[in-house]
Amino acid sequence: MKKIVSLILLVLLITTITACNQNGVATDNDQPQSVARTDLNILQFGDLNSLNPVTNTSAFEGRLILQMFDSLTNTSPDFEIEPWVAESWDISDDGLEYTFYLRDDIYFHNGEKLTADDVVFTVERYLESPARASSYFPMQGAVALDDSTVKITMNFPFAGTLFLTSGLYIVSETAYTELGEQDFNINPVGSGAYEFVRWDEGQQIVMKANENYHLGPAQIKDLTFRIITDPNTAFVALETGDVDLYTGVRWLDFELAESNPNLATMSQPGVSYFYISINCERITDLRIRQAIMHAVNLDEMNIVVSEGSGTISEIPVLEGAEGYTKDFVSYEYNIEKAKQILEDAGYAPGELEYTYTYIESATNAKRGEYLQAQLNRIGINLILSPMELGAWFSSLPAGEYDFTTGGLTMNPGNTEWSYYMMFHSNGTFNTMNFFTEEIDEILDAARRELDRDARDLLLQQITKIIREEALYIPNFFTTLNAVYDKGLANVFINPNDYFRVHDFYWQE
Amino acid sequence: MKRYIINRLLLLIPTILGVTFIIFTIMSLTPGDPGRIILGQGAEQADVDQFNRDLGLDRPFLVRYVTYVANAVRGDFGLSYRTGRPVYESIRNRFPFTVTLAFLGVLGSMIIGIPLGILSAVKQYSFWDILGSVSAMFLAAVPGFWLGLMLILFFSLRLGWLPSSGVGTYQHYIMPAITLAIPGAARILRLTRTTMLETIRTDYVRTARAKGAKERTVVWKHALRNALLPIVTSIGVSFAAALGGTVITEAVFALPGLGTLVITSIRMKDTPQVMAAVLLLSFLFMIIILLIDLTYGFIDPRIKSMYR
Amino acid sequence: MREKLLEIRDLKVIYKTDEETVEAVNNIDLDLYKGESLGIVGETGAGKTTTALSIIRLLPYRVAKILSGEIIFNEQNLLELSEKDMRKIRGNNISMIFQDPMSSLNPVLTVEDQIAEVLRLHMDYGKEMIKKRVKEVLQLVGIPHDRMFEYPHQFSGGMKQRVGIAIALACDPDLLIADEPTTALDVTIQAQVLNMIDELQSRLKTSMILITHDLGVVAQTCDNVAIMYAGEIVESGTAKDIFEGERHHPYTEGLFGSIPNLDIDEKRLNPIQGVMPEPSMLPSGCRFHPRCPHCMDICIAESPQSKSFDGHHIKCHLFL
Ligand SMILES: Nc1ncnc2c1ncn2[C@@H]1O[C@H](COP(=O)(O)OP(=O)(O)OP(=O)(O)O)[C@@H](O)[C@H]1O
Ligand SMILES: [Mg+2]
Repeated sequence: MKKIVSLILLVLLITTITACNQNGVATDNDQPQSVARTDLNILQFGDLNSLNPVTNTSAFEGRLILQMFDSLTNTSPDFEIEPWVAESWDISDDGLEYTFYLRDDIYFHNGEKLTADDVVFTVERYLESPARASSYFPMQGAVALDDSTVKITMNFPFAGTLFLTSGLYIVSETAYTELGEQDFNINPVGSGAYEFVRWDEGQQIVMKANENYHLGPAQIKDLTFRIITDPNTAFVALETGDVDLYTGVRWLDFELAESNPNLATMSQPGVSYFYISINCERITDLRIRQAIMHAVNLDEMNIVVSEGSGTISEIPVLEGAEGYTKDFVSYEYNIEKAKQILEDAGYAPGELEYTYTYIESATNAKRGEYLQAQLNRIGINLILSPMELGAWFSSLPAGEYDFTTGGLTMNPGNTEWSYYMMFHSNGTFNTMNFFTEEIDEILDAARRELDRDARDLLLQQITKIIREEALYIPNFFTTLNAVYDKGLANVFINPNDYFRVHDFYWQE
Repeated sequence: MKRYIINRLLLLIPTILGVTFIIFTIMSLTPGDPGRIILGQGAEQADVDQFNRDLGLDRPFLVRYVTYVANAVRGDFGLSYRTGRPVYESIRNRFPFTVTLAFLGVLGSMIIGIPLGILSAVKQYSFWDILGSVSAMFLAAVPGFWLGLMLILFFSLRLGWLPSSGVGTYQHYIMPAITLAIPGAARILRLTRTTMLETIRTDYVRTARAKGAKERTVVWKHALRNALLPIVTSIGVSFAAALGGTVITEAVFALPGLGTLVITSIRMKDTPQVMAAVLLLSFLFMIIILLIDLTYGFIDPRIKSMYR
Repeated sequence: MREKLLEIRDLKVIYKTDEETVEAVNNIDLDLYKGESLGIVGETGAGKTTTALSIIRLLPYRVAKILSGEIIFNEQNLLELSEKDMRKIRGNNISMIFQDPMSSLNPVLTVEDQIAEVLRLHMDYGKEMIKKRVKEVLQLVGIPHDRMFEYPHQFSGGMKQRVGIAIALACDPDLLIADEPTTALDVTIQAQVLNMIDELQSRLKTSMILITHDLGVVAQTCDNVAIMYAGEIVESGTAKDIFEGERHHPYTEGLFGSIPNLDIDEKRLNPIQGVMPEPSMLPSGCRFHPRCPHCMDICIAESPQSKSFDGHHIKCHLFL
């Protein structure tokens, strides 16, 4: 009996193992490669909702859409606007009419030519879409002047128009109407460098190179975005060669990757800025806010929250971005000074008590605990109130918090858009609730200011005000860590995690 | 027997109604609305409200619930708030992975647990028994994600024998199945051991020996069948539990199963998707329990005669 | 000419558990002749079942140990046989009927299956032949054969024991060991079953060991009798020796003094003053001395030898 059972177990074990070994997965690193690879597997963190540029709502999906669609204009890596589907454009003197002249060599994946009608159709879909409306509201509509000329009309002169057109990914009108929105979401038809092949839900999105791409066919022919939600698994997949490119690698794993001879690494400040909003309708006394500023050590917080991986910045813009200035009020870390300010203002230690709400997560909890400890040192009690995503969203409009987590994508070439959202009294993500006519006027002016330098100056004013008024506790810009196979060449990744696989190729 | 089955199936209706009501209530009462979550923090409140109105969320709770049930009875489970596509699509896409995984996991725990449990019982206090009991204790305490990761690190990264994640070949299922099987195996091992120890001491087992039957026949034919009832229950329940509880395993091995779908959908307040998945799971759960009860009848004639 | 079928010599069995060591059977001798029946009588705990289980070698694994002795059956020492050879004897040459019919049948197998199993194990029969034989033995024990596809729970206690007997007799054994086959049954049914066993035994010429508490049963059924007390055989001989002989072990006398009155429903005997000693703490000398009305000094000091009076063995200092 004993013998038989152990024998069975042994046989089972051996057969499984040898079976796996025989036709097991050979990792790419083991195989001598004579010919360069033409496939690429990219890690996708989490499943998607839609691959339709009209309905997609997350940046996750944006980088996939970028491979399959062409936008009317393009934002270059240094945030200049450059031609793409539109070869050139004219802007009317009043800044209300934009006339775009389209290339005539662009074809959709279904073989049809991209025409002015498709652009008009796309604009109409964007304007209808609740997912897009909050960004595209300055646009009034579009008309086709002829097959290759489109006129887009604005509701008011809008500074960021060409940023909007850079996010306008042209869909095929025929395909869209034939399939209907619902089916187009999972069967996108664009004109981009890659053609949609298959979407295995929760598993992968498969694309193949568009051989008729107007910028020439890509060298990488088979492109797969593999969905993995667990960071540990994701990193192992990178190490085993199951995926070749992984952006947004955790700091821990990034250090491991740096010592791995098969992997290339790249680290740069990302575009997500994190801060802790102070609800100025509840904490109205500027002196309290200033004391809080002095109580927080940004370096320490960076270490506690993100192992020191963040790029610390007191203002939500990095050098080189619109609205950046060195000339703002900086609050140095000084507990004694913070205490003194409170004392002078007449607050006894323990008198002040606040709550901090945040979306429940390990990182947010660490941030909360750090803040709690620091405020405690200056005699302010802080109650931590972690919440589920949905509950947190609901708490915002009601203003039921003293402090809350904030995090926003800051597009360096389009600071106006983010500032408007964060600080204008009509802003949709204004969690500081500091409403003044001055701020609104400056932001309204910036919104309509077509001259870049003039707009830059306006936004710098905002940058100064928000520090002076101590509206938020600064944290840092996240760092975008990317790791990829050493054999992959010409990899360029934008701070906002966008990249064009079209440019990549495998070295021999 | 037939009547018994029909009765049991009829009993499913109120149970499932109850389940739908509870889930629906929970989904409705927890704060947060799909419009805001799906459209994101940058969206205008007006757009969010419109989005929610389009989903019919402005109607009172009971109206929504009754509409949902009425539609569901007609086989219409609605569109996912998140993807705007019929909810059955995602379920159809993901269900096979979850079932396969749950099935393999339970099969694995049976293949490991039952023979080792029998061995431990038959050779009570022997080396095998002690090894079995100690490893059962250890394995039951091992957290799934840790075990999964260790397997990945060893078999994928170190040895390169097995793919670390995803689906496609049967090899993709080996490590997830083991991860799922191990805690179950520990449970089944201990259960098998105790029930076998009991049955092996019974008089009818001694009768079988007195007939001159081989020890193997005694154990497998006479003792095991009688020890099987609690084991079958435990296996059925593990299977049902595995269907709903593969979330962690799915995440670690990047398997596109139902567990991840339910979690994502709950986060997104995607009520129709959550409802459909939970309905399916609870329906299956009850069918499995029914099957267990019927299996009892086949194992034990005394119970079968009660079904008449 | 009587032909010896079974001969037990100097058998000693202990049960060793973590807490204690039980000397269950102490150096007993027994003889059984072909075609004859032997009754083993004794109080509960005397070691009757232990003796029986030693013969078919089904003593509880690990706990029980045979320390000495031999059991010669058909000229081979069963204690020296391999487990494999012993399996060929069990159910075939030696079969056993157990004490509790309620729990001795497997609840999940049909009666047919359970009888057929022993036939399949030992007989070279085809399917048809097995079926035929199953019907035959069922008829033998008085169960209509159309009930053979039923499960044990569908039978009454008496019928279950009949099935047990059918299993035991299926292969025409040389030796049938019946361990209190009727104790668990209703009094009225007890008689039926016993009569049947008696009748079948003499008809089939099977040798039998009948274990019981009931001297009346022994008188009615057995050719020979052995009286057991605290793991020892204190007296043995023909039924005539025991029931009509002049000399008796004091324990046997006590037993006779307590033959149950039929009016009183008494299942267990408690014939003599006091109780049987804890088998893990047996007294010195004669094991019976603390309860013996004739106790002498020597009884406390020395264990008596068995003395034979023409095959009537008595183990008592009174007769030495
Ligand atoms: N498995 C066991 N472990 C330990 N002791 C045992 C075991 N089986 C029997 N004994 C002990 O051995 C002694 C003899 O038991 P046995 O079953 O042979 O008695 P018995 O004469 O058959 O009694 P009864 O009339 O009650 O059946 C008793 O004291 C009993 O407690
Ligand atoms: Mg007994």
